[in-house]
Amino acid sequence: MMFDQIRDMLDRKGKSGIAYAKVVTLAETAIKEDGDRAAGYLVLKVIAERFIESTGRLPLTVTQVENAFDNFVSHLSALEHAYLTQDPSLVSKALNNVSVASLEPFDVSA
Amino acid sequence: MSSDFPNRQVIAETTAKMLIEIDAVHFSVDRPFTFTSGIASPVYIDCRKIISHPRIREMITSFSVSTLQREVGFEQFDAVAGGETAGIPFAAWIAAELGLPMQYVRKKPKGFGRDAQIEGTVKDNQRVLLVEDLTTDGGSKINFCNALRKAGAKADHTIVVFYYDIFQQTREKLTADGITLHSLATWWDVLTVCKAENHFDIHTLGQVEAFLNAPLEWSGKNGGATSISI
Repeated sequence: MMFDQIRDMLDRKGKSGIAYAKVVTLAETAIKEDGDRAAGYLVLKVIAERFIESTGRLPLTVTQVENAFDNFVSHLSALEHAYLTQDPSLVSKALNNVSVASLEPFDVSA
Repeated sequence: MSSDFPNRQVIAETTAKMLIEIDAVHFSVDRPFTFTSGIASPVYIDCRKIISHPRIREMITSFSVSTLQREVGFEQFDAVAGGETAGIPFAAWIAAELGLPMQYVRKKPKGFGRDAQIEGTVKDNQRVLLVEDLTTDGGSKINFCNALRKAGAKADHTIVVFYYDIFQQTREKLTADGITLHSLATWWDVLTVCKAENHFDIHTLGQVEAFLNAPLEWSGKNGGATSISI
């Protein structure tokens, strides 16, 4: 599974726009190389793209970036955990939950 | 067309004053901003505000043309291209002032072919000036110039209203890619004006200066990244 690589990439590259752009690229690679979990990588790619589109060059604070990172990692961990159980119903439930969450607007309240 | 050549220092100081006047300059020490690179910063500038101030945008356009004529020449460009999105209005005003065709460059290609990233007409070997509102690490300038080159143009110069001038790698990387950067003002110019005119408190200006002198160190101490990759 490449979830840990995606998490590490986002953390290592600064958790902001450039890091999410690298997550998109890595998720696309994961979709090709780990097809059994392609749907999970795809929804993470969607979330990363939404971060980039919704933040652009806005003056994000460190707190907002950290909150977005924590949010992303919680979705990633939920998917990772579900796939580890190898229970199709849990995988389906995690995919649905994260898909719904992917449409939530970026939280700029912090 | 502009025919006067205010010196670089006058252009820098006046540009800095105009940016401060329209609240394009933001300092926040206690709640730092985060660049797209992940660098934490006490400074943020929104050059897009210029478009809503006709007298200032006219002056910025005039300064840009003067800077280009002094630093590059009078007949060195065949067209002007704006980088999507913020660079487009500035490119339009400079193109109009210079009487040149205009294009704009997309962040990502749309469709197929060598000019998939360009809107407008590019001719082979056309000398195109890339225009953007600002540059931090220079990464997007390289992307845009390479897109213009792929379409057949010569894209060796770029001008921005504002250049952060805090990362040594910026000019080195642009130079390595055959791109010369021209700019009107930097954070150092803004800091000088803020000190001279008592904008912001001493603590804030001290932190801003500390960041400008050692941005990665300041970033690391304030929860941001400690390295950049262009």
